[in-house]
Parts: sequence; C-alpha cells; structure tokens
Amino acid sequence: MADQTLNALIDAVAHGDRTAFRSLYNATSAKLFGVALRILKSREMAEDVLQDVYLKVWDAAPDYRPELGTPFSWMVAITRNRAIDVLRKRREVATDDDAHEAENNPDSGPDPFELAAQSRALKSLLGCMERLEPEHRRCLLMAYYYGYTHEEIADRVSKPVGTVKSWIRRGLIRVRDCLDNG
Amino acid sequence: MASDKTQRLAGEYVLGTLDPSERARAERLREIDPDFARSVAEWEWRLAPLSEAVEPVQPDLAVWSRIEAALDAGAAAPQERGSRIVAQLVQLRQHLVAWRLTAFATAAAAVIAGVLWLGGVDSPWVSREAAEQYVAMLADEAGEVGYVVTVEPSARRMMVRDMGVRPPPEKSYEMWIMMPDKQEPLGLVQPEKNTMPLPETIRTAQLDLKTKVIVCLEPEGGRQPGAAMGPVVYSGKLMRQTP
Repeated sequence: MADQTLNALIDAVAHGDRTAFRSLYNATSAKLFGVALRILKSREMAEDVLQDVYLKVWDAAPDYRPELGTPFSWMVAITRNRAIDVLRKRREVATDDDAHEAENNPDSGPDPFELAAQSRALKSLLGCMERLEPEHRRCLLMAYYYGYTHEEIADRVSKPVGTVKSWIRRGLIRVRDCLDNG
Repeated sequence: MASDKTQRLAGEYVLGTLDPSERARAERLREIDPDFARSVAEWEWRLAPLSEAVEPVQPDLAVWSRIEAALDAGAAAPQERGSRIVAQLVQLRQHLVAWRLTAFATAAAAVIAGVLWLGGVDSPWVSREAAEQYVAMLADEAGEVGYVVTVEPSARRMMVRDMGVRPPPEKSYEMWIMMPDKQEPLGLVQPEKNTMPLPETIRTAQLDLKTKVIVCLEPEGGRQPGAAMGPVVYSGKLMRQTP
C-alpha cells in the first residue's frame, strides 16, 4: 500500500478512528508478524509482540512524523524493537533448545539481494551493502533479521567477539556514509 | 547534528546488537535527547528496507480480537489526539502541489494517481492476503486535489480525507461513484466525518479504471429528490492499490 494511504490511515488512527486502525492492521500485520516471527521463532511470542506493537501504534500515532520516516520504517522499527526486548528477556532464561536451534540455523536469514521486487530504498541500501566485505555484510544481516547479539554472531561465524563488534561498527558507518553521500 | 559517537550508538541500538546496559542507556537517551532520537529515527529509516525481504505471515485472527479487547478495556486510552492533523494535511498538500508543478495542470490528477500507483508497486508491504483496496484522488479543473478517497469493498465502507476544502456558503458537496453502466450517490460529504458506508451494489460491482468518484455542488443539505445532478467540482479515477 502506498505511503500516502498509510499516512492518511495513521493520521485517522491518531484521531481515534478504530475503522482506520482496522484497515491499518489488515494492511500491515502479516508483514510485521513475519518480522517478529523471524526474531522470536515462536508464533505465540510473536503474536504477543504483535499485540503490543499495535497498542503502541494506537498510542503513538499522534507522535508519528512522516518527515522522520515512512510508515513502513516506523512500524517495522516498533516491531523489531519490541521483539528484540522480548528475545533478550527470554535469553536470560535460555534453554538447551535455544542452543540446539542455534547449531541448526547457521544461515543469515532472508537474502534481500535475491528479492525480485525491490523498492528504491532497498536498492540504494543494498548498493551500499554490496561494497562491504561479504563477511561483514553477513554479520549485519544476521543481527538485523534475527536480533542476535555480538556473541551469538561471533559463534556463528567462528570469529572473536571483538572482531565481530568492530566489523558491525565499521559496516554501519560505511553504510551510513554511502547512503548519505550517494 | 549528532556526534559520530552518538550516531554509532543509535545505529547499534536500531540494529539490536547493544548489550543490555547499553541498550537501556540508549532507551533513556532516546526519551530525553532529541538529537539522539533523530539519529535513531534516521537509522530506522536506513535499515527498514531490509525487512522487505521478510516473508509476510498471517497472524492468528485472535490477535486482532485481543487488540480490540485491550482498547475497549481502556488499556491504551488515546492520549490527546488531534494536534497534528493540520501539520500533516499541510504536508500532504505540499507533496501534492510539488507533484502538480511537475505536470501540466490538466494532467495533474492522472500524474498524482500515477505516483500513487507506482507507490503501490514500490511498496514494501508485500502482503498477499491484504484486503482489496482502491484509492481515488479527486481534483478540481485546475488539478488541485480536494479529496482522497479510499474504498475497501470487503469492509463495506470508504474513507474520505479532505484536503481542507469546504463547499461555498449555503451549498453542500455530494459524492457519487460513476461506473460505465451505473451511477450511485454516496451521500453528502461531511467535514467532520471521514468514513461513509458503501452501497451494496458497489461492494459487489466490478471496480476498475473506468470507475470514477466525483463530488458535485448541490444546494445546502443536498440535491432535491428528482433534481438533476449539480456541477462536478472534483473528480478522480479509482485506482486499485497493489497490496
């Protein structure tokens, strides 16, 4: 759905319009659920997160500022943030299942480079990410899609934590400079 | 402009790789430091396109019921709503004006619709199961957009956003949907009301590019029964939104 329509919906939600809220939910929930599910790997937890996300959207709609981001970036950020918070809490009581799952999931998640229909924003971002070392890029993608910590990424790429930390830091700075300077 | 160090913290916060104490610090900073909050929003905007590659997954229907129940219970009582609408409308209007300037005035409505259409194709919200939706930008003769109408047949209603236009004194605006084989009045356009019910015949009809939504100028309170339709003030084609 076009950003203009979503902006109008968020605007109506900001005024307490429940019908618009329903439309917004219908248009966006499957995507946001997919994002949360990637990070949490549990439908039940991802559904709890989704509920929190939309209650937050309802509350925060009056503060949404289109000049600071698109409806997509705003809602995806709320979702990832909430999902990562829940993930970190769960990690505090990590189980053997988690460790087992880690061994069986060495991949870095969905491959945005393989996506057939890319938005212009994604094309520019990938153009910049392509300039990174493949290993650095892989670490960034793992962190983004799965919400892994430095330690978890280090485990998966078999490198010291300090190395992964500096790859990610440098990777982010290079992506920022590339996007900002074209 | 935030310092490099602040921007780096914001980037890692958005990426999610900060350890718990740094993350808590970033959360606090975000609340109290507008520069940091802006850096965070910028990073969110930079990285969000990556989520386009995530497969949409339909959540259980019960999630929406739970959200509604929470709203009904007042768990998320709306804060002060309404302070921002003017700013947002002004902004949307500026966008429309900018688009309009790029084209001949008479072609403007088509151009605007085209931009919106491309916006749909370019959309990161790939959600195949999303409800069918149509949108029309209603413009006057000069290409000035007065209303944005979104039609959602499955929800049996349409949303009408006005761009600040009002009928002249002692006149009313009435909205119609015009199809090649039929036309249906949708009712008076009410400034304070942004949803209108959709007639049954429209819900099941074949809506396509030949369908237009128009706004006519009528005497205050609406057209007299049996009277001819008043002059058309705004009109626009209905475009299907690619989910």
